[in-house]
Amino acid sequence: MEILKIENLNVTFNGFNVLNNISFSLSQGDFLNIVGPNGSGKTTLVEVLTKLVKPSSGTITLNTNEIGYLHQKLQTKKNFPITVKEVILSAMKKPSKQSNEEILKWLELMDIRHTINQNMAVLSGGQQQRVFLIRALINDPKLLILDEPTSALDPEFREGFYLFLHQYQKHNNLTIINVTHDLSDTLRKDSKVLYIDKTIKFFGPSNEFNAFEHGGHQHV
Amino acid sequence: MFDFLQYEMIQNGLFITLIIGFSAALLSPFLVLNEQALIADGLAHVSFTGLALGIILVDEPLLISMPFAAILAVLVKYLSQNKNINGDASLGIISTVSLAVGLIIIHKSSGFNRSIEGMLVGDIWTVTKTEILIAVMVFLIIVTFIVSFYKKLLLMTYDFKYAKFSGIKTSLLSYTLAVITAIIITIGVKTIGTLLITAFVIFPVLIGSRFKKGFKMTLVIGSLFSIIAVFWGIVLANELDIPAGSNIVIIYAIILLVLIVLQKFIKGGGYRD
Repeated sequence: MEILKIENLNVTFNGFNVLNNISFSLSQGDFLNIVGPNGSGKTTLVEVLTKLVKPSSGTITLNTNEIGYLHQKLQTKKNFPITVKEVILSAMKKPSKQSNEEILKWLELMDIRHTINQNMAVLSGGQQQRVFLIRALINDPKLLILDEPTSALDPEFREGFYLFLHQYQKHNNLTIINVTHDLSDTLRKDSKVLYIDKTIKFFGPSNEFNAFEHGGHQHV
Repeated sequence: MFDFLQYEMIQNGLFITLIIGFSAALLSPFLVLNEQALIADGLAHVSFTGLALGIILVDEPLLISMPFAAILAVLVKYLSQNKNINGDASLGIISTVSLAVGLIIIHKSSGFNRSIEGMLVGDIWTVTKTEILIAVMVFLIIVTFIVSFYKKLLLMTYDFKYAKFSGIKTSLLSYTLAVITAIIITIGVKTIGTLLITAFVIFPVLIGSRFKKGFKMTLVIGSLFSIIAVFWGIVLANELDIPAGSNIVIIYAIILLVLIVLQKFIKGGGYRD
């Protein structure tokens, strides 16, 4: 089942083309990695999908309203008083008496159960990122959008993060769109790659992207 | 020590200051943690001019100064969101221009018989029944607003981008927050004064957040300490024969200082890191 279809998408800021004629589609259960150089429009593309940025032209057909989102540069300010539980609870669409149990179950899964009542600011970067991932998944989305979720974290955490995502995705038939700078081995398994630099340079399975990278030819 | 509380004038002053202190404490985290601490200061300057206009034009100055401050609060928000002016700078422009206009109005008005000092430091002992009624109504509006939109306001304060993604009408909520802040600040300027009302917005969250118990508890603890600061500020001011508004601010500062010192020297307890 097709979950997302983008046709002839253009985004212009102050007369500059940020995204030019972007078209691609995804099926339910796809894992798409969006890669490209700095300033290539990766974040703009996901911000169009999350309705934070309005496109100048083109059509986007999203066959679900259930979207989870983990945006870039998330870090709790040192003096901001908010607990892990409050962060997750504030994103829950239908909080109930069972919410506490549900949050604990998720924290257990992420191996940070003990942090439930701790302030976010005292958690490590990796622990905070796990909380933000829980926040993105807590409403059981059909599409998960991640914008460089591991960019400021060490490689060991990164591998664990993506291994979890792959397992979770297969188990729940979740569609994932992941913006990344570093296409690690974990990300290359069973995934699609969209390489953009304002326009699409490559879109296809990750095993074909290896040839594209080494051969330098375009496959659109 | 408490004998003076039997006088109606004192009771009215204490009551309205508690109402203003509690209201400002409820708004405090949503403003200060959103880097809008100076909004109270800027809006206090705006209210000064509104109050000057109100005193000249009508019997009940708040009826002019409240809508005046509310309109300018919307203007500040509009400028900071829609034009290429930094939020603090737009607040600075509007508050200083407004204060300048207020001072000119006072200078040119022959019928203006109130001292500028009185408007700068306020006067809690001359509050009217109408002012108390308005303060109570505004307090109820603030409580209703925060209870109704708590989750959305929290998300907006903590992570604005995620709040927008979640479909929260962030612009509408920001404007509403600015307007009700302007209104309670205006009432505060009339009683506590232009120079001191900012403390009522800034201190509660700074005190509440020292306990590191999360956002909701910061709100609750900040509000409780505000009530303590206002009550003891007024009682001790009477004992020591010093201005009540100033003494409340000193009490706030002492509470914060004690908590900072305790946090430095006492491990454990509520100060968990």
